[in-house]
Amino acid sequence: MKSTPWVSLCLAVLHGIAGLSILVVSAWFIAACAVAPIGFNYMLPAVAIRALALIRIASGYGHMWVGHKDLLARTAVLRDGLFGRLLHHRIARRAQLAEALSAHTETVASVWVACIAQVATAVIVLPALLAAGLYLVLPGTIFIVVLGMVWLAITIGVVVKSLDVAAEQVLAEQALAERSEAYLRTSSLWHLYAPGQHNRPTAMPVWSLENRLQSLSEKAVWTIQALAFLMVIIMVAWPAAGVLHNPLAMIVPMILLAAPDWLGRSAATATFAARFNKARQALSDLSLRHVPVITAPVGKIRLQRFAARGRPMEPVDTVLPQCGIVTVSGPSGTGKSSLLQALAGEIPFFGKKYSDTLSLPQGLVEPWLYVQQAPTVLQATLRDNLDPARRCSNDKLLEVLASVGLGYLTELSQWLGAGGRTLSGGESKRLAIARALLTNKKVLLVDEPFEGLDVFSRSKLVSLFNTLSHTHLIVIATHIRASSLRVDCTVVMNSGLTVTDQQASI
Amino acid sequence: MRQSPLQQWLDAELSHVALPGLTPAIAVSVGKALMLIAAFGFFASIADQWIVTGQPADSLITAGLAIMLTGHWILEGIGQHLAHRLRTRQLYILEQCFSQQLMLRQHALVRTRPVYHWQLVWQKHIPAIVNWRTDYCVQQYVAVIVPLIALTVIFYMNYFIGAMLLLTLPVVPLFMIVVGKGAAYLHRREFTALTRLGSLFSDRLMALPVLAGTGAHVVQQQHLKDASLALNIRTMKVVSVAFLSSTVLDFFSTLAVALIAVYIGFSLLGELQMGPQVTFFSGLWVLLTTPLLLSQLKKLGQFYHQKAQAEAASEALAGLLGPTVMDKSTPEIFSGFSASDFTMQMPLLKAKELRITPGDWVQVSGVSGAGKTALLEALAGFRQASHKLAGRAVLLTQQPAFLPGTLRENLCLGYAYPDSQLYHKLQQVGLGSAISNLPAGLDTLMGDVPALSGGELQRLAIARLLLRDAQVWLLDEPTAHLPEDQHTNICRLIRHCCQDKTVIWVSHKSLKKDWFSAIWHIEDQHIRQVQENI
Repeated sequence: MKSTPWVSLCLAVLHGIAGLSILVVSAWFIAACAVAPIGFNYMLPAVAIRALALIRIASGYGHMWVGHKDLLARTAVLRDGLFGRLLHHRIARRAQLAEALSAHTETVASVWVACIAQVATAVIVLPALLAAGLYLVLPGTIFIVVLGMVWLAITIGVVVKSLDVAAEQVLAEQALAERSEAYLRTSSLWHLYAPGQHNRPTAMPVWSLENRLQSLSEKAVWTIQALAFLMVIIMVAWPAAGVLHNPLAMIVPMILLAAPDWLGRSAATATFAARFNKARQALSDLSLRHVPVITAPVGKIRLQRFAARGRPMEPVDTVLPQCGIVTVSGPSGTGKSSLLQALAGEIPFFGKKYSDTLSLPQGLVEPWLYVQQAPTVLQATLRDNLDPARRCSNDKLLEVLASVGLGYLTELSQWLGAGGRTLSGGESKRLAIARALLTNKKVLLVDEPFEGLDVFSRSKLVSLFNTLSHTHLIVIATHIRASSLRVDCTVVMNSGLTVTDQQASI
Repeated sequence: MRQSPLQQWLDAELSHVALPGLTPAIAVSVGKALMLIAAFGFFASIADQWIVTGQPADSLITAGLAIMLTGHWILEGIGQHLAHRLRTRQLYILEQCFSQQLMLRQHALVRTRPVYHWQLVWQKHIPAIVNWRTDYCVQQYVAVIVPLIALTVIFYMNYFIGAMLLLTLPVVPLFMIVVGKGAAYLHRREFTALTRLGSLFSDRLMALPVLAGTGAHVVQQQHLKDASLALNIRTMKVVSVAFLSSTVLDFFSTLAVALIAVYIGFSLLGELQMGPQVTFFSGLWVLLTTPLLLSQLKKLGQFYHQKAQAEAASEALAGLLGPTVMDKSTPEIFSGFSASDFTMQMPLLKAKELRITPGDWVQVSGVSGAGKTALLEALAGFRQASHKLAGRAVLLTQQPAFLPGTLRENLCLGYAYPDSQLYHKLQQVGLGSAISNLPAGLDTLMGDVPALSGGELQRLAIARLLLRDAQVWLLDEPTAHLPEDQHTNICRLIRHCCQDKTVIWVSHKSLKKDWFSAIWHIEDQHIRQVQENI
C-alpha cells in the first residue's frame, strides 16, 4: 500500500485554513479600519488578505490535482495487488463481480481525497483557532472549545451509525440481487401467475438505506449549524466584557456563522466510513476458488465414475484416444458442458481421471484446454487476443489465423472489443480455437462449436478439426451432427429420472 | 430556462405519470438564502453598534438576528425533509413504471438482455435519474435566483460595488465555458484510449479462465500495470483542464471577497474616495453577502457529475419507463382471431390476412431470425402490433424456466390446486409415478429433485400449462434442444393434451402434417397463410 499522501493532505488543510482566514481577516480588517486606532498599519493586512486569496486559489487547484493523481495511482496499485492475488484462482459470478471490484478498488483508494482530507482540516483548524483565541484573548474563545467537542462527538457518532447502516445495506443488496435474479430468470412464467399473487422485487429497501446514510450526514451538518447559530445568539444577547470598541470581537461570531461551511462538511464526509468499510470488506472477503495447474503425461484418457461436482449429471466411464475426434452428445441439461469443464479442470470433479496411467488430481490440466461456447474476446489487440502470454512470432500468428479461416484479419495491432472491431459469434469461436492452437495444447475440449454458425463456416471448422485430429485429441460437445466430421467415438450422456413414455404417449 | 435534452427525454418518457414538482424545494432554498442575507444584515448592525458606537446590541436587532438564524435553520431542516420525500417519491414512481413495462412485455423484453443488465436498472439507472432531478435540477434554479437576490442587496447597499460585480460576474460563466470546451476537446482527443483502457481491469477479471488456460496471467498483469499507468497520465491531462472550471469559481469568489474587503477598509480610512459613502455596517453586510454570489454556482458544479450519470442512465432506460400503450382489455373467452393487414414494427412483419377459429392448429415456419418468436409474442400481447389474440393464452418456451422453490410452487405459481389435480396432470405428462416416489413428493425443492433431463423439464412445464386451462397454446420450439426420440414423444404428448385447444406452434423440427389446419410461413417480413385443410 502506498504511504500517506502528505502533499495532498497539506494542500487540503492549507485550502481550508486560507478559506476561513480570508473571511475572518477581512471582517476584522474593515472593523479595524472603521475604528482606525492611531498608528494602524493598514497596508500589512491588506496585503495579507490578497495573499490569502491567492493561497486559497492555488492550494485548491493543487489539492484537486495532487489528490486526483494520488487517487489514480492508489487505484492502480490496489488493482495490481488484487490481480496478483487472483493467479491460479477463479471468482464466481464474474460479470457482476468484475464491475463491483473495479468500483470497490476506486472507493478504497478515494478515502484520502473524499474523507480524510476533510477531517484532517477540521482536526488541525480547531486547535489552531483555540490557540489563536487564547493568544489574542478573543471574546468568546470558550465557544470554539464547545464547538470542537461537539464536532468530535458528532463525527464519531456518524461513523458508528453509518457502519451499522452499511452492514444493513450489504444484506439488503444481496437480498435484492437474489430476488431479482430469480424473478428475471423466470420471465417466461410471469403470464402464468395467479393475478395479484406474483411478488415483484423492489429496490425500495436498498434505496431507503442509501437515503438514511445521506440524511445522517445532513443531520450532522444541521446539528452543527444549530449549535453554531445558538452560540452566536448567546454571544450577541449576553455580550462578554471587552467586545465594545474591539475589532477582534468580530472574529468568533464570524467563525461560528461560517461553521456549517468549514466544519459541517467534514462531519458529513464521515459517512464515507460506511462506503469505505463496505468496499474493503468486499475486497477482503472475496471468495476465491483455488485452481492449481497440474501437468499430465501424453496418452489415452480414462474416466472412471467421472462427474462434475455440484452439477446434475450421470457419472461417465469411458476411454478417450490420444488423438482423434470424440463427440459428447445428449440432450441439453445432461451436463455435456460440465463434463468438458471438469475434464479440463476448470471445475472440480468426482471419480477418477487418468492420463496414460497417472491418476490426475483436481486442477487445471496443463496441455489440455477448454474452449468456451461463447468464447471470451479480450478487450485488446488482435495479437494479444491470439497470444495473451506474448510468446509467438507474428508469422506464426498469421499462419494460425489463416488455418482457422480468419486469414482476412491481417492487422495484428487491430483493437478488438469496446472501442474497436467487434467479432461475430462465428469469428470469436474461430479466434478461440486459434488461441488454443497457439498454446501448443494437446487436448482441446470444445463446447458447442457449431451452434450459431452458418453452413460455410461450419464446414470450414469441421475440416479444421479433421486436420487437427491427426495430432490432437479434440473433444466436442454438440447437439448438432456435422456429417463430414470424422468422429472416432461418441460419449452419450443420459440422465436420472426415468420417464415412462408409453404411459404418456398414445 | 431552455429545457435540456435530458429533461425533454424524461418528459416524453413519463408523459403518463406526473413526477412531483420541484417548486417547493426551490422556494425553500431561496427562502433560506433570503433569511441568511437578512441575518447578515442584523449581524452587521450589531457589529457596528459594538465596535463603532461602543454599545451593546439593541434588543430588537438581537431578536431580529435570532429570528432570522432560527428561520434559516428551520428552513434548512424542511429543505432536507422535502428533498428526502421528493427522492423517495420519485424512486417509487420510476420503479413502478419500470415494473409495469416488464409486466407488459414480459419475456419478450427480458430475454433480449442479460439479467445483469436489468439489475443495473435498480442499482444504478433509476437512482441516477432521481439524484439528477432532486439535486442538479433544483440547484440549477437556485444558482440563478440566489445570486440575483444577493446582487440586489449589494446594489442597494453600495451601487459602486454592485456595478463592479455586475461587470465582472459574466466573465465567470464565460471562463467556465472556455474551460469546459477545452476539457471536452482533450477528452475527445483521448477518447479512444480512455474507452479502451478504462475498462481493461474488469475485462481481464472476466477473462481469468482464458488467461489461466493460456498461461498469460503474469504477462497480462504486467500489461494491466502499464496500461493503468498510461491511462492515469492521459486522465490527468484531461482533468488538469477540467479542474480549472472549479478553480475559476474559486478565483472569482475569493478575489471578490479580498478586493471588496480592501476597498471597504480603505474607504473607511478615507484613503479611497470612489462610489457612495461606506459605513462599517454597510461594508460588513456587503462583505458577508458577496460569497453567496458564487457559492450556489459552486454547489451546482459539485452536482455536475449527476448530469453525466443521468445521461448514461437515460440511454439505458430508453423505452423502459414509457406509458403502457398496448394495454387493451380483452375478453376472457377466445372466440377466434381475424386480422387483416396485420403489422408489427419491431421487427417488421406484415400479413394481408390471418385467421384462426377456435380449435385450429397452426404451424409457423420460416428460417431462423425470420421473426417467428416475435410473432408469438405479439399474438400473446407482449409486443406491440396491430392485433393480438383475445382470451387467455399460455406460452411454452424452448428452455422451460423454474423457480428455486418446491415442485408445488413451480406448478401452482400463486394458484391453489388440490394435490389430486396436480398428480392427475403429472400423470398425464408421464411424471406421476416419478414424482410421487420422491420422499417429499410435491414438496421436494427443485434443487433436490434428481437431475431432470431437458425432456422431463419440458413435461413438467406442460403439466403447469395444463393446470391453467387456457384455450390457446403458443408453442415456441419446445423441442428444439431435445434429441429426436424425446422430440417425438413430447410432440405426441402435446398433440394428445391439446387436441381440443387452439395451438400455434413454431418448430424447426418436423411435425405431423395432418395435425395442423393451417401453416403460416414467414419469409421476407411477410406472413403467408399457405395451406388450409378445413
